[in-house]
Amino acid sequence: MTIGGGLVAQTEHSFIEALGGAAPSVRQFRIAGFHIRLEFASPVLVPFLYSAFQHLAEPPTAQADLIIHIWDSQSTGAPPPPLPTFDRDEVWILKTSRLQAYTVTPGRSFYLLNFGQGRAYYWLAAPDLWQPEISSPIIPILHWWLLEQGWAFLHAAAVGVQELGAALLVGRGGRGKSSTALACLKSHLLLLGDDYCLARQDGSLHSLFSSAKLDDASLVRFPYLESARSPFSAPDWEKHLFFLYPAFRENLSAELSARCILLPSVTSGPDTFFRPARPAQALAALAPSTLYQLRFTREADRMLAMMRSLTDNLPCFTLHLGQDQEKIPQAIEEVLRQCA
Amino acid sequence: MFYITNRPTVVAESFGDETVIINMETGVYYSLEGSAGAAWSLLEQGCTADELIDQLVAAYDIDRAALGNALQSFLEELLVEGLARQAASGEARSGALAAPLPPAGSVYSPPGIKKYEDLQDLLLLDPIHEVDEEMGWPNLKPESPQE
Repeated sequence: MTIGGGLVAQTEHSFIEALGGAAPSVRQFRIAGFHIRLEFASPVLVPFLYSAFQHLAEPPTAQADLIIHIWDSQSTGAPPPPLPTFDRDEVWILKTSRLQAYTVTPGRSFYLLNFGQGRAYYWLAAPDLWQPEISSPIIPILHWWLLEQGWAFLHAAAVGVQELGAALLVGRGGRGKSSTALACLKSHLLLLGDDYCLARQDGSLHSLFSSAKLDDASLVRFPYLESARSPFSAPDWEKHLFFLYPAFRENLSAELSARCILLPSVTSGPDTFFRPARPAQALAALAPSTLYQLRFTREADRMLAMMRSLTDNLPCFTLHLGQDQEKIPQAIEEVLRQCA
Repeated sequence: MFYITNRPTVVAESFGDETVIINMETGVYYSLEGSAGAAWSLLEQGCTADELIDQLVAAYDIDRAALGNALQSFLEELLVEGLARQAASGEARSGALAAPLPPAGSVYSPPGIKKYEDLQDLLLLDPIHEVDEEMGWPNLKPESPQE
């Protein structure tokens, strides 16, 4: 008889009520060899939450390593799961030996992972998602579970070449990570992610989301992305949303090994060049923004140690981005050749 | 009374003469330079202000007076920024203080701290509450259905 057990039972009850006896809509994808299945009781949520994973899609298997139950109360009439009672915007995090849960903003959304059973629950009050919930869905659950499997969630872009490995692009928003990664779509470099990727301590990298976001100012530099524009939009979204799969399927890679860490910054000259950087510089560019993105984590020490290991073991460079966009992938390939 | 780093709110990694610290509550991050890294390694273990000065004087073979003032303001800044705190009464240190080893060939330079607030724009201002197995959500009463 535990509070954690009660939480799981009541959350499961809400999901079953949402199904109302019907079978869930099932989608499955594979990350780093793990089969992850999404079971939706709200069909309306499928396109919003599955689009970013379609580049990793696979047919449902008999056994999944992680099953995530997804539903909302508005479209299904199901009662909400048991949430903390509060009337201000607050963050509540629950961690026990086998459970992790997170909720923010009264009664809007709720994430719960039951480690032992490989089952997770993602509930929304209504199917009105914020842009980050569509472009990079279900981050809390994926972070908690994948970290247990040895994969750290990084706020970093990654691009590379099959035979040379990949460069991790690190830095807070606005430093040029995303535009560097998207500039590579017009080259033979492969993209693993423009904002997030997974990394293991040995330097293995894996793609997570096929989404890309651009603000108005950057959009003019990437007219070729129009073919990948997302069907979803809302007047209050600050950025344009794209799904690179299927339009850029040939330019995407699911996994590569990291060979270097690059710290981009925008310059006014035409050429792109790189200079050696200190590991501490790279960690300061990577860790604070990653840990900010994962503010629901209770594993900051462990995450920091994993990121430290990457910055210690990989050569680090500042990447000074020139205005000639075509030269950016050439410069990255040159760094990768030097590091090979 | 001794001082200690404010873990787990604060996480840190040291690279020889450079230390990166992140305050998970505020989103502000810092880099320590010069003798600050050695001072931080002492504070990680828990130490008094006098021990801090004694150990660094010995480590860098430097005049006590030259170090004292700089170290005092450094310590005050750590306290103001929430990176270190006074130990609570009854809180014990883990063991004997291990002397910091400045990187080979390094010469003394005053403890320096650089503060980076660029993530504060993104800072989540909502208060974060953590609960554990015993506490549960605040609205889950003992009579709630249990497994």
